[in-house]
Amino acid sequence: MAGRPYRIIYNWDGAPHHYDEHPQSMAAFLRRVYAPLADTQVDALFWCMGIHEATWLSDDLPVKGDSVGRVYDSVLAMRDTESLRDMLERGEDPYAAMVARGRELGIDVWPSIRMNDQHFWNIQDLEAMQRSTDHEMTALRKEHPQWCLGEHAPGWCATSWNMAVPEVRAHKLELITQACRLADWDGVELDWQRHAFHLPANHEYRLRYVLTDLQRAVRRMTRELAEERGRPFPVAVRVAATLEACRRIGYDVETWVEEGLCDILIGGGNSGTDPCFETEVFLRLVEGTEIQVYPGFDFDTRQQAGRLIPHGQWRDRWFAGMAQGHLDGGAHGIYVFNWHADETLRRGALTTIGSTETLRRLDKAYTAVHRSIGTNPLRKDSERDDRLYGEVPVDLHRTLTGDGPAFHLTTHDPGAAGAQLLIEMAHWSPTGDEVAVTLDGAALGPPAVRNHAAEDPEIPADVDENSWLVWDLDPAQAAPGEHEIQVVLVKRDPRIRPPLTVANVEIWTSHG
Amino acid sequence: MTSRPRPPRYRVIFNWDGDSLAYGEHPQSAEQLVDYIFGPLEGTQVDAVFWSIGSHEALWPSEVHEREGERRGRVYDSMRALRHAENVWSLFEAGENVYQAMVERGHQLGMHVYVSMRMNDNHFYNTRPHEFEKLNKGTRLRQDHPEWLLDVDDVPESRGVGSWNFAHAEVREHKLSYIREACALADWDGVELDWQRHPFHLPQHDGYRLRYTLTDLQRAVRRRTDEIAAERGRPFHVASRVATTLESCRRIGYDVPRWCSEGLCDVLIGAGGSATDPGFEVEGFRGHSDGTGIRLYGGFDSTYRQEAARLVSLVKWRDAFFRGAAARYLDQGADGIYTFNWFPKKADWTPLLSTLGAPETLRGTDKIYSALRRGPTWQNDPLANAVNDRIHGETSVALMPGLTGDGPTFTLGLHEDVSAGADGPGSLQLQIEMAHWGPADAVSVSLDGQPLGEPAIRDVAETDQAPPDVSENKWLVWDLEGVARGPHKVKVVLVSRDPRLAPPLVVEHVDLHVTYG
Repeated sequence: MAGRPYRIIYNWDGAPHHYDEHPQSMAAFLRRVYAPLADTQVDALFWCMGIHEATWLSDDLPVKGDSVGRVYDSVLAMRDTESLRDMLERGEDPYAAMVARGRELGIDVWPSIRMNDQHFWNIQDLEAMQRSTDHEMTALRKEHPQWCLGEHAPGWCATSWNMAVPEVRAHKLELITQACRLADWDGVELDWQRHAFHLPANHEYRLRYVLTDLQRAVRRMTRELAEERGRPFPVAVRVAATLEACRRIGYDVETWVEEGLCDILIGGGNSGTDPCFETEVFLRLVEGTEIQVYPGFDFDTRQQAGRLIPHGQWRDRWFAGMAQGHLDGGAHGIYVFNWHADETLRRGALTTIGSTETLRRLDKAYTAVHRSIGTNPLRKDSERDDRLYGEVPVDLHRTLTGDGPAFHLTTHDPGAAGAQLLIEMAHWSPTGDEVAVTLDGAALGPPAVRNHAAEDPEIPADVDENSWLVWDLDPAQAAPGEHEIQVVLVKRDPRIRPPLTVANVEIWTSHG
Repeated sequence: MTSRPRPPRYRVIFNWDGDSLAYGEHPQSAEQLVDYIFGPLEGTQVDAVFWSIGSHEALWPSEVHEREGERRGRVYDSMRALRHAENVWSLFEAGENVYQAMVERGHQLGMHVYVSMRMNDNHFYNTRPHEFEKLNKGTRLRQDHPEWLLDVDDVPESRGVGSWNFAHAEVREHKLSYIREACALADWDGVELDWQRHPFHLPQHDGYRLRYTLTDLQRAVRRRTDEIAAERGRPFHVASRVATTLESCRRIGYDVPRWCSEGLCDVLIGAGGSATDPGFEVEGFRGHSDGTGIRLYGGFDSTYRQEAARLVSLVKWRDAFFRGAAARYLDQGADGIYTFNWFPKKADWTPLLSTLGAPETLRGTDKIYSALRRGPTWQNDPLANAVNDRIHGETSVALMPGLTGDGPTFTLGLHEDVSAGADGPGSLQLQIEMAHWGPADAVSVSLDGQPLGEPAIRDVAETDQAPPDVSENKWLVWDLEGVARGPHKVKVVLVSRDPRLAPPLVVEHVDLHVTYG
C-alpha cells in the first residue's frame, strides 16, 4: 500500500516559515520548502505539522500562537507563527499549495506528526509547567498535569504526554485526524521518536499496548480516509533504531507489522543520528508484507571530533558509508531529519545517498558506533535509548590478561582504491603511551601519529590533547564485510592522570 | 580453546550462602557444621553444592586479605556474627579445615562441591564511597579507595552504590587474588563466579563498552583454574551466574557470546540480581553455548516479587510456580536447575529439591505457568528497582480504556501434555488477579484469540474464616479444556470500569494452573 519506494524521504520540521521576513508570501514559502529538494533524489517530503497547537484554523483545537495570545518572546517566534497565521487568515492554503508543488516536482507530500515533541527544556516539573508562559504550552496541558509524565520521566520530559491516559490518546487522534484532512496528502507520518518518552519509566514494555492502541486508531482513520477518496492513505512510523530500544520505549513493532498498522518503518535516534539501525532485523520482521524499511539520518553532533579533514567532508563520507551499508542490506531508501538546507547546503548528499549507483564512486567513512551520553542536566537521558550498542568512547584500562576492547566496523565499498584505519586516542602522550592494535586478528605495525591541530592552518599549535593513530591499509584489508579492531594498552604515561580513551575508530575508503 | 572435560550434568545445583555456619552454638565441630550443610540435601536431586565463601573479608588464614573479624579484634556486633566467624576460626586454630571437610562430605554423598565467589556483594545499603571510612564499613581496602567504588551517578538504583568498579585494574587484581586463595583452600570441584550478587560492576551506560574488563577477570580466573587442573590432574570447573536475558547481560557488562566462544566457563546460570527472574532465555543462551560443552542452568531465588494473596496456600503456589518454571527450562534444553538463598532450615525444600531437576520427576506434578511479572505499576512504584531483572515482564499492568477495544496481551507457555499425566489426565485453570475490582467492572478475556466465557469471580477472603469476606482484589477463574502444549496468548480488554473508583483496574497476575489427581 505504500506505493513506490522513495530514494530519499526528507522530513522538514517547518523551519521555512521563519526563513523570510514577516509577512511571508506563499511563493516565498514554497520556494524555501522545495529549494533543497528540487532536482535531487528526494522523492517524498514529510512536512512537520507543528507540534502542540494546530497549524490550521481549527474549530476546537488551539491554533498556533493562541497559547501566548499572539505575543512572542522573539522575532523568530513571531515570524514563524504570524507568517503562517497571516496566510491562513488571507484564505490561502499552504498545505494544498505544498502538495500541488510537490506533484509538479514528482515529490510525494505527507504531513508528519510529532507524537510527543518536547522542547520545554527549562520546565523540569509539573508545578513549573502550570506557571509557564512558554510558546506553545497549551491550556490543555496546563489544566491536566495528571496527563503528563511528571516524575516518571527525566526532568526535561516531565511535561510530555503520558500516552497511558486515554484522554491524551483521544486528543492526539483528533489532532492527527484534522491534519490528515487538510490536503490531498500522500500519507501521514507518526513521528514517535520526537521525542521518545511516552510512558512512565520502567513500565514502557508492559504498557506498550496503549501506543499500539493509538497507532491502530490512526490506521483505522486513514483507511476510512482512503476509502472516501478512493486511493490509499499510507502510514509511516518513525521508531527507534533497534528492536531492543523499541521495547524499552514501548513500540510494539512486531504487533504493528503483524496487524499491518503501518506501511513504512523508519528507524531513527531520539537525539542525533543512530547508526545502529538494524536494517536486516527490520527487513526480516516485515518479510511477506509490503511494509518498506528506511534508516533515519539526523544531525551528527554525537559523532563530532577534531578529525584530520574538515568536518563537512567527513560528514558526507560518513553518511555515504552508512547509506551504502543500509541500501546494500536491502533498505528501501534513506530518511533524513533536521537536515536544514537551501539550494546548495546538503545538495551533495541529497543527490547521492538514495541509490547505490550514485554512492559507488564516493569516498566513505565507516565508524565504530559512538555511544555518547550527554551531561547536560536539561536533556538528561535524551540519548538513553540511542546507539545502545555503541563501542566508543571507551577507557583503555590495564588488564590482567593482555586484553582490550574490540570494535566492529562493517565496510561496503568493493571498488575502493585506498583505505585507512584511524583511531582517535584521547589524552595521548606520544612520548609515553603505547598500544597494540590488531585488525581482524593480525597485528598492525607502528602507526603514523597525527593530530588535528598540526594539520589545521587555523590553529597555531602543532599538538593537541588527542592524537590519531593512522595506518594505510591495503584495500583488501578493508574489503566489504565486518572487521574487528582490537586495542590493547601496553604502556601508559604515568604523568597523566585520566585514562587513555579510545574516542573514535574509523576506516576510510577512497576512490582516488 | 583448551580442551577441558565437561562437568557432569547436575540435576540441581544448590548455592549455600554460608548462613549455616551460624546455625549451631559456638564452638562447632567440623562434622556438625558439615551436617548443617548437607543434611537437608541428602537424598535429593542436588548433585552440586556451591558454597559461598564470602566476598569481602577472608574467612580463612589469609596472609594478604583482611580476615573476617580481624579489624575489630574479633569482637562482634552480634552472637550471629560471632558464631559465623568463630566457628570457622576455632577449627582452623585447631588445625582443621572446614572447607576440605565440606568437599569430602559432598564427595561421600556423590555431590560436587564448588567454592562460590560473590563478585560484588553489596549489603552496604546505599553507603556512598566516601562514607565507608567514616562509618567504618567494609574492608580497609574499600575504605582507603573510594575512587574504586561506584557512586550514586554511576548506578541505576541505590542498591549498587558503593560497589567495586571493575574498570579499575586494581579492583580486578584484588578480586583475582581473593579468588586464587579461595580456590586453594580445598580440593574443590570448581569455582562459581557469582556475578549476579550484586550486578553493579561498571558505571551505568558503560557496561557494554567496558565489558572487556569483566571478561578480563573471567579469563584470568579461567587461566588460574586451568593451572590448578593441570597441577592436580583433574578438572577445576568454572561456573558463572549471569543475568537471565542476553540484553541484561549486555547492559551489565557480561560478554556471554565471548565467554562462550573463548570457553571461559563450563557452567552458565541465568538468574535475577534480586529474587527469582523466571524469564531466563534458555534458547537465546543456547545460541551461544551449544557446541561448546557449556552447561546451562535456570536460577531460582526467593519468590517475594511474585507473591500474592492467591486462592491456594503460599507454599502450594510456590512449589507449583517453581515446578512450572523448571518444566519450562528443562523443556527448552537447560541442563538443570540452580537454587539460591533457599535456606533449608526456614522452609522444607525437600519435595522441590527432589523433583525439580528432571522432567521425569516433574511429570504429573501440579504446576503453575505464570506471565512474567516485572513488579507493581508505576503508580505504586515510581523508583527504579531491579532494573535488569524480568525486563520483559508483562505484569502488573494498568488496564486503560482504549480507542480500538484493545488491551494488554500476556504470554503463557504450557510445557507439558496435560492429558498424559503419570496418574491420569490433569486439569487446567486460568486465573487472573485484578486489583481494585469493583462490582460494575467488566473485562473481556480471550485465549489465543478465542473469547472466554464468563469467569468465576473469586475472592481470597472467602477462603479465610475470619472477616471480612471481601478484599481489594479478585481472581477471575476459568476452567479450560483442550489447551495444547506450547505458547499461548491471553488478552484482557477493559469493557467497563466502575466510575466510583479512581485507580485504574490492574492486571496483577496471570497464572495457568495445572492440577493432577
